[in-house]
Amino acid sequence: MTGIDERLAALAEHAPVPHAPVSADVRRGRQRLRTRRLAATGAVATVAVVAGLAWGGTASEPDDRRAVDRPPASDPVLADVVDGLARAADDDGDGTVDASEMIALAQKSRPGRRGGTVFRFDTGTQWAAVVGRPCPAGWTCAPATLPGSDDAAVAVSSDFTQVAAEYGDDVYVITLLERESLTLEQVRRSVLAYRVPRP
Amino acid sequence: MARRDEAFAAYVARRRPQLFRTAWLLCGDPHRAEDVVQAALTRLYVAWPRVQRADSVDAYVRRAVVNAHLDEGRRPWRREAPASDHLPEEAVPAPEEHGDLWAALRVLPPGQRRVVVLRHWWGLSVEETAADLGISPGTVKSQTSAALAALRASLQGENA
Repeated sequence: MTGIDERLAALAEHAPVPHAPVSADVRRGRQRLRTRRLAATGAVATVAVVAGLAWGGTASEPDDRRAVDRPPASDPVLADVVDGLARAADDDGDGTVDASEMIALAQKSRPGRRGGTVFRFDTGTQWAAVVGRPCPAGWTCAPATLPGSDDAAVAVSSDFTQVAAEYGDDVYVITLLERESLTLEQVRRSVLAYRVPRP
Repeated sequence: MARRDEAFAAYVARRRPQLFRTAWLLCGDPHRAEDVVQAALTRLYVAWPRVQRADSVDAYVRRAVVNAHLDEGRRPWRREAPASDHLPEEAVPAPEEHGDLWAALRVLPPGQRRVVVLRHWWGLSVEETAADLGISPGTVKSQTSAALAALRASLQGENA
């Protein structure tokens, strides 16, 4: 139709565009992001508890010397759950934060092993606060490359592997349990290389 | 969070009027249009790092506006009114010189209206429109053709 573009443009110019402060849009966005992160963190805590139970008992178990039974090294169900959580934390389900890539990177960092089981999944916002501390004794920490991420790093100890990745302003840390058997006390006392500071 | 806020705020300051006009053309009511824009921008903020990296901010937010408009139309209190998907009669006092186009746009089915707004207001190609709406290029073409025919008939009727 001749001139429809121009006529639509002229009509749109008459739209009663409100004066809406940009700060209000930022505030609403922040609020939504916070809600999503809280939801994801809560769900991840649940996963960690479930995983902990799968490994052999509860923290109140009197005999902490008892070995923790690991689930199969490749735990697709748990990996899928964590992957879903990572995506949910980033967006409405179609984000590019790929927990399976992070897990694959962790497994590649330990050649000759079957790969660990996801133990923790944390999210934060400050890359330097997560990876900036000196590498703890018993750990090897190194920068890494992870497709789609702005920054990535891997830390390996005899008991754990950690992968930290920064996507935009968001930081994600996956921790895998690597040892065949650990007592609950050993798990509790473990020093991790990458930690997301509590707000 | 500062980097995200700064870049997001700059984008919103630049694009918000156009997004509002898009929503206004789609739903015809300034209050609903503002709701649609707010919902779309909230989604955009959450996804900001990813869409900015992919250099697809405009495409993402356009889709978010269209989806928010669809979602808004699906809400129960909207569904109660059978004609809710059509632009409300008294929603906006269209300026005299555009009254005929406003009325013609108002009677288009929502799907055709979306196609017209994306193709003739945003200036998108058939393929881009199809991607935004999640429909096939063939459907975009047929809806565009039907919409233009309907607009032509309405406008000729007004002028007769």
